[in-house]
Amino acid sequence: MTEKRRLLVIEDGHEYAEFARLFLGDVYEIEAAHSADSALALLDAHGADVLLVDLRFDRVAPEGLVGDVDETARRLFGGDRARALRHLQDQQGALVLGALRAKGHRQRAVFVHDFPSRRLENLRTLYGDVDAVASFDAAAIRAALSRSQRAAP
Amino acid sequence: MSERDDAAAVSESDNAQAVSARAAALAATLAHDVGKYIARAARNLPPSGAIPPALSAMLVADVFATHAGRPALTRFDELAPELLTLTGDARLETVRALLIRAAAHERAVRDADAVASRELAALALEIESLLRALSRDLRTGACR
Repeated sequence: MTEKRRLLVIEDGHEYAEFARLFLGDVYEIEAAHSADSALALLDAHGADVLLVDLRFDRVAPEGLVGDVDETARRLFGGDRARALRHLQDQQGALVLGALRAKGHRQRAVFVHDFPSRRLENLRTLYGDVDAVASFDAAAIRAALSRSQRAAP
Repeated sequence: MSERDDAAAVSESDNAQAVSARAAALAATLAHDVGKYIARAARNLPPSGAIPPALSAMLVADVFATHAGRPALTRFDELAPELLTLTGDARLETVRALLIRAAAHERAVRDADAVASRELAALALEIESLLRALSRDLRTGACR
């Protein structure tokens, strides 16, 4: 019997993990993290072969986000904290992935998000082995998780 | 052109950009909060035969507890009126009509009626497609 690969789901809610357990549970052992800190703890404890990452985290308190609201407001939004917080929430999955990469975790990461192609290229430039599937399409997500970096489109 | 004309043109342009950015942000949120999640199970139903109970339960949750435990229609109604004011895009009215049709299937789908479940899934996929297209159009400036 083949040992299951390990999939770490990173999201602010529970929808990705539910989806993964229902549609990917035959192939993957699934764990879920809801912040960069919990993802790092799980990776340190158990490792993971691949990551399935949500992009928007709008159900997490500001102090639980990667990125400082005040600093982001100053740097990018002329001091507008509301816009800075929205930016951090909207891009949190990418920021969490950045935090994991900074700690040496290089696993393939798959987002379920309809990125413009240039944005996806940017993410690959920044974070290496990244792919995206536009919707919760189980077959497409399964394929994206199992593709190697060189085979990525 | 006078300096005043130029300032007015700049102001008008800035305002148009702000409106456009706001509309694109609203459409992206709608595509995410409603479109993406309403189609989570719908896209993955088996092509024929019975629908497994776990998948049926997910379909119900996707449509009737879509965002913070509230139905997709509730979340849509929080976001769409402002976007409709900004863009006048008729797809928003179409999506609302589809969401109302979806709501009419709730009891039958909760009772595991396979025909109603498949109809609900088809509506969910249509809603996702319309909201994603709207978001893409506003992102790329295709809506004028």
